[in-house]
Amino acid sequence: METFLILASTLCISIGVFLGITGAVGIFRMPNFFTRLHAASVTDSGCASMLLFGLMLQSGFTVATVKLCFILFFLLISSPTAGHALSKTALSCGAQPTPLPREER
Amino acid sequence: MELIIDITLLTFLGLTALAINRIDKLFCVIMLSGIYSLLCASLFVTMDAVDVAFTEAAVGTGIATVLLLSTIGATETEQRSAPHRPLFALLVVCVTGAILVYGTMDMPAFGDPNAPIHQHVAPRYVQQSQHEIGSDNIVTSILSSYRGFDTLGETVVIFTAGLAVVGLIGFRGMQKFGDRQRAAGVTQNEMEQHLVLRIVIKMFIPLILLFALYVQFHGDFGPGGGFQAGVIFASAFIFYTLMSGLDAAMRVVSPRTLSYIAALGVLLYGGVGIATMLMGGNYLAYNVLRHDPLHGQHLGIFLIEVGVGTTVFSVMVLIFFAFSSRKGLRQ
Amino acid sequence: MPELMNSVYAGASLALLAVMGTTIVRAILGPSAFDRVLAANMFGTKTVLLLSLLGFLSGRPDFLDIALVYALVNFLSTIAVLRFFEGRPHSELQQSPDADPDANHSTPTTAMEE
Repeated sequence: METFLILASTLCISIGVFLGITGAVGIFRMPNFFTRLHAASVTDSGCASMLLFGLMLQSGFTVATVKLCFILFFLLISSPTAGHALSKTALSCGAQPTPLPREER
Repeated sequence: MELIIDITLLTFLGLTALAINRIDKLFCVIMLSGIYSLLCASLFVTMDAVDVAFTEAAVGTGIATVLLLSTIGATETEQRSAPHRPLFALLVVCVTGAILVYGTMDMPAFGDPNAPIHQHVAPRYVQQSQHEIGSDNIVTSILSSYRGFDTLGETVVIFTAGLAVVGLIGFRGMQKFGDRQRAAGVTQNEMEQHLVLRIVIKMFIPLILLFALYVQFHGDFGPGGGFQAGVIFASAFIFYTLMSGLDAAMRVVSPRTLSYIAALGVLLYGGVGIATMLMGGNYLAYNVLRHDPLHGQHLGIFLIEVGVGTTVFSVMVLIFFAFSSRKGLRQ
Repeated sequence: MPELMNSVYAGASLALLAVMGTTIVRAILGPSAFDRVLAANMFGTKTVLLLSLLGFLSGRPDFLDIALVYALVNFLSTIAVLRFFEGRPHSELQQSPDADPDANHSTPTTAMEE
């Protein structure tokens, strides 16, 4: 049982780290604000959920798990809200999502 | 392992500080200073100073960013370049710094076990605190009981800051903002555009208030205490202001009420000292408050933390109201 | 096998530090103001995760209280910044000497003072 928990949490944390690095590369290389916003939201929801879930598996039935649940709940609700508010304000201030340049054939 | 984390965080810190220095778009500087404060808090955590990290995060990233934004909302958003190059000032600063560094060479090394502080004071606190005060968190017992006078001074300083802001801006200045808004016919229409934000914030505010109370009363057992709880409590009010507008928030709790609450907090703290004197002990000697010294300590720490929390909460909200109401001048 | 979990935590912490470094670079570089707000918000979330990992690494679950507070103040400062933007004229926010070449500006991009 314990080995299974260790394997599961290692898997979750690895997936979380992979998603985090993906988001970091995205926010660095993406050309536009809205695309960067999407990359950042990948980390805020995917990476955070996976990492916190992996930690929850490790801490068993203690109060630390309850606190991790609170953190996860708060992050899962506040990060998309912040992203929504950001994009709404950006749109109202004139930034526009640029269509990608079409390849001329 | 911790070494690598420390080195990386300190590198980021230096990078951010350099960027803050070189960039003169003030808005970007404020964002970077929020990042700087988070980095400092992480460094405090790696140094095991958990209470300090708590306070740094709550004050530096939350309240300070909000207040700085209100300030540049009322002033300009670009830093003016200096009209001359201050080379002489640079020389004076370097010489003074060199003298100070030379003066510190006589001090014991960082973490030296033979330093005087580790011979007398720290062992007494670490070994006797559980027995004399009975709280698990040594930081709380030092802050509230062994060094209670210092904390009283800090609370009075915070109260004085609130006094100064109220003295400069005044209650009438804050009320005028509401009148101006009503005269300009600003409706609640613009608030209804942000439906998602309003609902989410409405959901969070009770949880934040509960969490502030949790932090307040858990100061004995974990990181927390009066300062942090007061700041988190103020954050809930700032959330409400951001959601519904300054006018509505000032109707929930008016600046005058806030000033009374602030005074009440300091009065509670000082009053505990007077009470202990009336019961026969020294000022702020909590042992005499109850029949048993440990219970007396618990009661004393509880009361003064409540005092600190209320003062910090009301002063933070007061300063935020005062700064935000200045923004109306530019319209 | 606590050593294995410790090394997993340590590896994840280093990866998170790399992510935070990228975020700081975006905060310094980002041509428009929104990029910087985004970077600051993402930095806050990463700090929350880093602190949770550090807490487990050092065996002190007290750090989770701090992580919760960080999530809270991060959200607060992001929302405060966005409410600040509402009163600003549109042209101020797209400014930079090397403006974002891909953004489709409908207003002239001059860094005007009020």
